[in-house]
This record gives sequence, C-alpha cells and structure tokens, in this order.
Amino acid sequence: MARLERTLFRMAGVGALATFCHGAGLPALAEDAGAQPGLSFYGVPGYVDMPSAFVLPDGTFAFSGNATVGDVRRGTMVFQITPRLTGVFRYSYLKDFLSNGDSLYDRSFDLRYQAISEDIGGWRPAVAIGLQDFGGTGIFGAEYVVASKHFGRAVTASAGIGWGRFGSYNGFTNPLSIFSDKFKDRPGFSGIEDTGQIGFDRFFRGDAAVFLGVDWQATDRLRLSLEYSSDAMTEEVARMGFEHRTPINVELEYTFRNGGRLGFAVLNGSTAALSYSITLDPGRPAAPSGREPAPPPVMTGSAEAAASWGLVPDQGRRAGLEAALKDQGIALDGLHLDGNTATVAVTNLRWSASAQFWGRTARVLSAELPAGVTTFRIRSHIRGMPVKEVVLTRQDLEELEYAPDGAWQAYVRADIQDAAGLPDPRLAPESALDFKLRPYLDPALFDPDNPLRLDVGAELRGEWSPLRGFYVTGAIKQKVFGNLDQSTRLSDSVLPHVRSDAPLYAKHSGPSIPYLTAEYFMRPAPDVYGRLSFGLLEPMFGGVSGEVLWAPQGKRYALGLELNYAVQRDFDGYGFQDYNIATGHLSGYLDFGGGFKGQVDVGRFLAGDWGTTVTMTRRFGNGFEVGAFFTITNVSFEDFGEGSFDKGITISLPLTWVTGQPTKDRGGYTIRPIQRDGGARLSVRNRLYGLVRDEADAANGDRWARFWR
Amino acid sequence: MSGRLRLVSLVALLTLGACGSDLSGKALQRIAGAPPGVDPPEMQRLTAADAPILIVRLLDRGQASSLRKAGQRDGVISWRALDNVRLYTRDGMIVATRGLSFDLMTSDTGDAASLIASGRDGQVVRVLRLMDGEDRLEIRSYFCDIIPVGPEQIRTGERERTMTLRVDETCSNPRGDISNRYWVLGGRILQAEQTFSPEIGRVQILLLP
Repeated sequence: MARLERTLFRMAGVGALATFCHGAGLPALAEDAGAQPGLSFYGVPGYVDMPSAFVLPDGTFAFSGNATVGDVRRGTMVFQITPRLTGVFRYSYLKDFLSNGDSLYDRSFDLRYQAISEDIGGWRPAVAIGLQDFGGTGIFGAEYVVASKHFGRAVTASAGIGWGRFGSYNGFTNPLSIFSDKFKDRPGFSGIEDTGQIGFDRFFRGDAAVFLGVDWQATDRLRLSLEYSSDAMTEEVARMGFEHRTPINVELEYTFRNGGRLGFAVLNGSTAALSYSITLDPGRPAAPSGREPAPPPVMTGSAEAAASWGLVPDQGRRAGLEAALKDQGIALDGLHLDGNTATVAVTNLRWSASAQFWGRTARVLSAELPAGVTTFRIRSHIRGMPVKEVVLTRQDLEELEYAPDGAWQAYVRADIQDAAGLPDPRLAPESALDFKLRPYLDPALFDPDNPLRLDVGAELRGEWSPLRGFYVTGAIKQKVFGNLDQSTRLSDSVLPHVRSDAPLYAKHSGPSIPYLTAEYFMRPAPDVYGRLSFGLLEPMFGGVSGEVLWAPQGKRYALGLELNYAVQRDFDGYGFQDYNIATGHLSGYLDFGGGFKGQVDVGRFLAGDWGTTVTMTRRFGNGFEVGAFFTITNVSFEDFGEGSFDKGITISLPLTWVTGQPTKDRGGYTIRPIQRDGGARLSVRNRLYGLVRDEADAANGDRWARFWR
Repeated sequence: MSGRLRLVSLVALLTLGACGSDLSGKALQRIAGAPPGVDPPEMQRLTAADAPILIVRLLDRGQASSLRKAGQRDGVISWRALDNVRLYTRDGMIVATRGLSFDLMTSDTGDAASLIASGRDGQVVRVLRLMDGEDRLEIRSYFCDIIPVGPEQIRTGERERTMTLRVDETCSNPRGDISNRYWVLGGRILQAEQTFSPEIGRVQILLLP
C-alpha cells in the first residue's frame, strides 16, 4: 500500500496540492500485513515446505538458504517480477542422491502467479498458481493452486491442492481428469538430456493431494509455522534414507533487527533443518540521494562582456571552465559562443544519471560564463559521438534552483534534441592516453559440479584515443589465485565448441588479454549510431564487428543490425584456432513502460545456428536491472545437450547503488544453468543500445529528480 | 574574550562529541585528500572572510558541524560544511540539503514561516520532496498545526542564554507524523529543529547572532 500511495503522490504531479492532500487522506492499509510473507524451504512465500498464495512486495528479491540434517542444501533467489508474477531460481545439493552414489547439484526454476489478490479487510483470500521446477531436472517438480488469508494481523492460513511432488502424500485421483483422462497419469522424468525442457506434458498431471498451512506471528520477532504437507518425500526416502514419519512440519522463525530471518524446523517428524533468508529491494539503494558533495550553485555569471570571449574562446578563458567542469567529473571537449548563446561539448565521466550530469554542467556554465551569455546548449558525447543537446536558459536555472517542483519544471523547460548533424563546437582532440589498474573477480556460479568457482587477479586497462571517435583499448590480466581451472567438465558438445571449452581457456595461467580492439564510433545520420570494432573482441573470439542502431528521438523503440566475422582464439589467447564464422543479428528494442524493457535478437549465432533470443528486463529508476532471457535456435534440444536450450538470468547494477558514491561503473552477472554452444552470441564490448540508452531515457524524462542534485 | 575567539569556542562547545566538522563523516577521505567536487579553497576563502556561521546538529546521529554561509540568492541562503555538504535555509527554516545521502530536495515553507516568525497559531500545508531511491521525487504532503508554546531559553553562546518564543509545528501524514520546533526572537527564527527523513532524524540549526 505504501508503494501505491507513493505512486499516487507521484501521479498527482505538480501544482496539484489539493490532490496530494486528498491522497494523503486515503486509508492506510496495514503496511506489514502480507508485505513480508514467511518463506518456505523452497524459498517462496509459504510455510515450511508448502507454499502460500502471498507475494513479496513488488520488485523485491528474497534470498534464502537452508540445510537439513540429511544433507540437502538449497539456495533460492526469488524475484517479484510484477505485483503478481514471481520468478524463482534455486540451486540445490542433495548428497549421494544419484543412483551411482554421486551427489546431485540441481538448478531449478519456478514461476508463480497470484491470480486473485487478497481483500485484507474482507473475506476474499489470495489465490496463486505455481509451477515449481518447471524446466530443470524436474526433481522438485510440482504444481499447485493455493488460497491464503490473513486472520487479524498475526495469523495466516492456507489451503491448497498440489500435483507432482506436492501430490504424493495421501494423493487422490486428479480432479482434472473429469476434463480428460490425460490428467490421470504423470509421465516420468526421462533423463538428464531432457533437462531444461518445459514440462508441458507433466503440468497438473497425475495424482493430486491437499496441503494446509498456518502461521502465527507471535511477537515482532518470532513466527511459528505449522503445516500438513502433501509431499511424501518419495525420492528422498528411496535414495537418501530419509524417514517420513508424519506429514506435519513445524518451524520457528526469528527475525533479526537487520531483517534477516533465521528458521529452525522439524521436517516430517524425523529431520531437523535450518534456514536463513534476507530480502533486498533494488528500489532502495544505500544512499537515495547520493553521497557526493553538493552541486555548485547557480550564479549570475562573470561581469565580463560576452563579446570579449569571442566565438571560440581562447585557452585562458576556457581553462577556468574546463577545471570547474573537471571537478564535477565532466570533460570539456569544446566551447563556442555566438551572441548570448554558448554551445559546449561535454562528456560525462562520473554520473550514473544523465540528468545530473546535465544539471551540474548547467550550474558550472552559469558561474563561469559571462552574465551576458543567457542560453546554454549542452551537447553531450559518448565515445566521441554527439548524442543529445539540452538547451537551458540562465533565467530558467535561476528561477528553478530552489523551486519546490524545480526538477519537473527544468525537464519541461529544457529543450532536448538529437545532437547529430548539429554544428560541432569541438576543438581538435588532443591524443589521450589513459591507464587503469584494478583487481578483478571472475566468478562462475552454480555450475553443475560446484556452486562457486572464482578467479581473482589484477587487470591493467589502457586506452588511447588519437582521433575523435576512435579508440584503441586493451586489457591484460593476471590471475593471482582461483579455481576456475579445476572444472573437469570437458565438453561433449556435438556442435562447434564455441563456448563449452571455457575450462580449457581457464587453465591458461599466464597473463591473458581479454580484449584488444580498435573501435570507431560515429553518427552517420540523425537518430542513427554506428560502431566498427576490430581486434581481439572477447576472450574467446577475435575478428571484426560492425553495428548500426536506429534509435529515433523520443520513441520507445529502436532497431539495430550487427554483423561480425569472428575467429576463435587459442586457449592461451595468443593465437587463433581454425574455427571462424560470420555471425550477426537484427535486434529490436522496446520499452514497455513501467521499467519493463524487451529485446529480441534474430540471427545467426556463433556455432552457425540460426535463431532468436528474447530478453525481458526490469529496470529500476536507479539503474538496477533484473532480466531473463532464452534463445531458441535450429539446433535440436538433443544436439544442444544438457539444458536443451540457452537461457539465464541477468542482474546488473550501478556501483552507486552499493556505495552511494557517484560513478558510471556497473557490476553484474549472468546466471546460466549451464553454458553450452547453441544460441551463443559474440560478446562484443560497447554495443550501441547499451551505450546511448541512458541519455535516451533521460531525454524522455527519466531520473530528472537528480537534475538539481 | 574577543568576539572571534568566543565564536570559535562556542562552535567547539556546540559541536562537542561529534566526530568532526563535516556532516558526511568521511574522515578517511579528508586524510587522503579532498574528493572531487569538495572545493576546499572555497571553504578557506569563506573562513578567511569570516563568513556567518550556522551550527548544525544531527541530533539522532550524534553529528555536528559548523557551516559557513557560502551564498545567497532569492532569499535562500546556502551554507557549506568542510566536506561540501550543504544546507539551504529560507527565513530561518531548512528548505533543502545536499550530500546527506537522504537529502531533502525541496520544501515549501509556504505560510509556515510567517506564522512561526510572528508567533501566531494556524494550520498550513507543507510539501517535502525527497529522493525515493529510484531517482524520482517522493512527494510528502503534511497538514501542520503551528502552536506557540511559550517562552524558552536557548543557549546561543558559551555563557549566553537567549530568551525566545518556542513555536511547535506538528505535521501529520498517513505514513507518519513529524514534529518541528522553532525558537523565535524578534520576528526571526533563531533556532530550528526539523525532521524530514527518518534516516537522518532531527536536524537542529542555530543561526549565530
């Protein structure tokens, strides 16, 4: 409810005081009721093993881990994709589970949908439908429909019907069989080769059973859960010596001050288990308004006559402006004065939010330029490409600096346009050379044999820009320690080994060159961006890559075409192998609004397979991104091998989110259940959409709250 | 004791127990050299020119600092700390902050300032804007009751006490109420204690006379 209220306030917009006050009078529903539901041992809202129909607050993560005495360990990441849709990734370890005595490392995905939301004050319960482990090995495969209700503030109760694993205790004939006899039987799991295929032929099939759950928030810190489980734990009993004495599970959970929750449970009357969970809201960074110092104030400008500066001000006059901008993390590339108008070419070196970069540029201009210069044309550049021109007047800045709705007003009054094809104020660039030494972490998470592999080392990055838009960039890195090389999974792929030889690359212990490229960026026409890259494009491939992006100003869509010729690099990185391929994609980008962005890439992948990648990303206002993708190509599921097709989850966040310090740097990781050769795409740096998207979004009004920050 | 010396000792006294004369508490950074955007020469200039001082105490954080008046435009005074955290005041009330991680981006003082300064009671609407974590402004509007409480002495110097009129402002909003206090002397707010973000807590400012 808090979120809804905030949204209402935001929608009420500017100058609508009466509306706010009315909004402020809305009944405040109990914020805690249902906002933080208990989590089951499967990591989803629920009781001990059984799920409830509750949801997490929209856009939040829950991370949980648990361990039982019988050596089952699970880590789960849950993301509330939309207010009703929940996505789950789970990594499990079951000791000695496999028939050959090996332990099982299992990755599974769930999707849950809350079809009916709860009427907290009335009688209507929440109802959710869940598909558990719908695409992994199916070991945890279950489907359920569950109804849940709060009774007062402290008690919730749920009743549900489960299929698959959740239909295995005290099961009865599937009620869905009144529609078709097909529902009576559940096909078995046919083997590791089938993993990753969505089990459409298993959903809601076979016997069903009823489960019940209830919990009681006894104090602010203590919660007690009790359930009647419909999971007979058949596989655990058969393979791991688990004892199923009773369908009753109980758990006692303690909430720490930091929000972490520690649970102790007794499962099926025979086994003790511990769990710990935390929630994380990407919408709540460490410092919402940043830790950076205050911006320079808007000033009335110097008393010098504008005319005395001349059309292209001399070095002496530029120096003050250049130093003041540099102190704000902004590079001055050029300055041109024409009457009362100054056109400045600048590049953002520090700010995650483009509006803040524009705002600080404008403030510095107001102070450093003569008072007679009243219009500022701020021309921003990315990798030498002119991107946007933001026009602001001195009068607007002075009026709005302290205005209550100054951020919105500034956006409305700013005239923003595509900067391509406008007269270029930039001076001939000085040849720039830049080096950076930093540590690196190369993790490989959740591989089928080990949840965590990691290399740690140092990376030296150098960049030389002799011409405008032309960059020679390279990095050399040296591993200090790590265990990436200890992966023993040699590729059994029947496709060209374009990605599956990763362990062989990791075995090289000397210095390596992850990339060494010459790149050229250009603006061939309005709304069009271009890139040419040549050299060692990524750790496994070198070659040449060309890309054109059409991203019309102010529109929600963009279209790109990328063509590459790639040659596979040697495992030690110093030479090339025989494999080469022409690969490329036509890419469509669409902003659905509300932070949801879609991308479709159609084309030829590295192994020569043709197909499509679909990516959906939720981007929070602060730049935090959570996405999921899958790729279907003309490689059969069988030829693809384990996992059947390429898919994964990406998390990417600005470092500012963690530290509060201003920086453009981002961190992130892509979790794939397994990396195979089908549907593999060349990993070129500086793809255009990613480069220019922030400014494009800012031109549409995103993150303007930071304009005056 | 000279006026200057008294001022220095007053600042020392009022900020006693705080961890430094900056508000972000980044002591390490100070040792390592000023981070970009801090502009230490400006602070040196202000100190040398003996610019007016605002004593700021973050009462719930146990931090305090003396800020120097760095500029004024359109009735808003900008005060900067050593680390270039800034507070902005209008008519003796905080209207914005920058650099506190949970900044007050803007606030309407509206009719409140004139009611408070004149010691009258009344009801006003106040609107605060803060960053919501997703780089949007979270607008919080409050109905506020302004009530003069009575005379109260405040400390304005090492031995100096000043008799003022205390005025309380109680603001309500479904998401939480806030209460502010002001100490008024001669139609001017001398000291104010305002709350705008739960993370920062109460912010007390004292304009040294």
